[in-house]
Amino acid sequence: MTDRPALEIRRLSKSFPTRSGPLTVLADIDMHVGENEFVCIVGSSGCGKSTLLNIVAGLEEPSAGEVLLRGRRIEGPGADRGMVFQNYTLYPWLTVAGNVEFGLKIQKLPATERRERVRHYLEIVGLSRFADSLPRQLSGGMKQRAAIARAMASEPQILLMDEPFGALDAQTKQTLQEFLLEVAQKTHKTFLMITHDVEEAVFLSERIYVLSARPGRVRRELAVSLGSGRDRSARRSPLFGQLKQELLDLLHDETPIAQEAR
Amino acid sequence: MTRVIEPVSTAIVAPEPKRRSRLLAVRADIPRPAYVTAVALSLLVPLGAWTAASYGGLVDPLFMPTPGAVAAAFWRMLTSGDLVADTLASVSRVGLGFLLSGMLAIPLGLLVGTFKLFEGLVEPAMGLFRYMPAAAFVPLVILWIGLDEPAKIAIIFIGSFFFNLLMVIDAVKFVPMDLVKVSYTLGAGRRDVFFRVILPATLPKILDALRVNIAAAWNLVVVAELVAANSGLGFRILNAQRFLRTDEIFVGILVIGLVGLTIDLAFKLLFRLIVPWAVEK
Repeated sequence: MTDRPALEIRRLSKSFPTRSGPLTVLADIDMHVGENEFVCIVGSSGCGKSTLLNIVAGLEEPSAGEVLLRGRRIEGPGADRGMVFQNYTLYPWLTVAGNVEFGLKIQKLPATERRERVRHYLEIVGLSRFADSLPRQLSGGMKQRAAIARAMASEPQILLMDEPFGALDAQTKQTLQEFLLEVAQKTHKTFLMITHDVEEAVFLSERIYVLSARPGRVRRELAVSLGSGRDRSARRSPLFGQLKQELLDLLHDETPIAQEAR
Repeated sequence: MTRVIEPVSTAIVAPEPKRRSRLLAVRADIPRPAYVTAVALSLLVPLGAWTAASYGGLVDPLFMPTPGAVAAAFWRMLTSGDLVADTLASVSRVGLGFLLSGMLAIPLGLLVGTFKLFEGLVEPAMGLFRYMPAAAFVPLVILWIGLDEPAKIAIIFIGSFFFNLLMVIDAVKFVPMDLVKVSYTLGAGRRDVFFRVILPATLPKILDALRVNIAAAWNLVVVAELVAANSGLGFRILNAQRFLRTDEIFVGILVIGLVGLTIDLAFKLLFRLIVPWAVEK
């Protein structure tokens, strides 16, 4: 255990009070994400995966258990964990560059460093030409690329993504998946992403956690040995199809209809 | 029974093709000449009816003066300086009353919309107050404040404050929660979220609310000037009634309308200047 993981989730549970007693949405979650690793959490809707990501981001508190970021317990939200949401969350009154700079200003970075980082991360996501555009002038895919640049600009220890491509059309989605894969390979950042799209999970991640529904538990941990230098051709490999089918089968058992048939 | 149903169902199976007017397409554009004609009609028909009725001798000029008489009265009032003085008096009352109302309603509304604690403190009382018509407060305002300038400003304030407050609160509730959450993950504290996210995000809706509510406040100035005023457009109308100067009443009402329109346009311009990013193209 000399290699301490970037993120550790230990025996984490979450329940909400309701009129008919507490409702457990997450139960005994144990997970870890290594440094520079890309990990996906896959689960059908209602498995509490968004709640889990919110807890890691520090936006919600766990009922039990803890989350450690490089060994330090998470107590609240912070710029050491960048977040990208499914819906477009750019500030509509700021330009693309202004959006990327927002967190840097709050963190009171000197102007020269801010400018350098904005330039750098806009280049990484390929939006340099749109630095002075307003978010509403961008397409859906470009908005998400800007949101990714904004999250990365603070140079967080981990990037959290909550179905970042969920609202995009199929074509744009594939392009952005390939884009994100490249970014991940290029920047060596650590990623924890939530998705219900199994193909997306297999394509991007090195490891996948499958969550069961109500309450969310880790049902399975799956290594994706497609290699870290994979490219878009990976989609056509037999292993890709195999893993995808395996995930689909696992998720199928979790649908309400399948559960009733048990 | 079947005899009744049958003709109906055949009508559904075979709807008549075409023959539907393009001019009445739901929420769609119509040819520009048609639209321009409609606009012209909306102004010319009432004006024409007025001209015909008054010059045609259909109504007593005491009740409805001719457009010419109204134009003459307008010129007379303008050159005497009364009209300008009255307009300024009314505008400054509305301006002051509304400024005070906005200066209190905007910060308070932002607090109520953002913090549940303030919501609990303010919303129940506001729910009650906003159903009390400002005009009903006139006697109370006279008792408490008197008959002078502050009384008129107070009535404008009472009449616009709760609507401003309500709409600012609503504007905050429209800020997507994800926008707030993402700000925390960029290192923002509560203070940053309030001043650097919620405030700019709500600004377009706040400006829109002010634009809508100042129209109501402007209407209220006539009521406020019923309270022992000796200047203002409301006073001028009331005074004209006493002397049966219907033409001057017409002028007063028309000027109130025109000033209202000008205020509306000014707010639209302000919107473009302050929040150009929110201007719908």
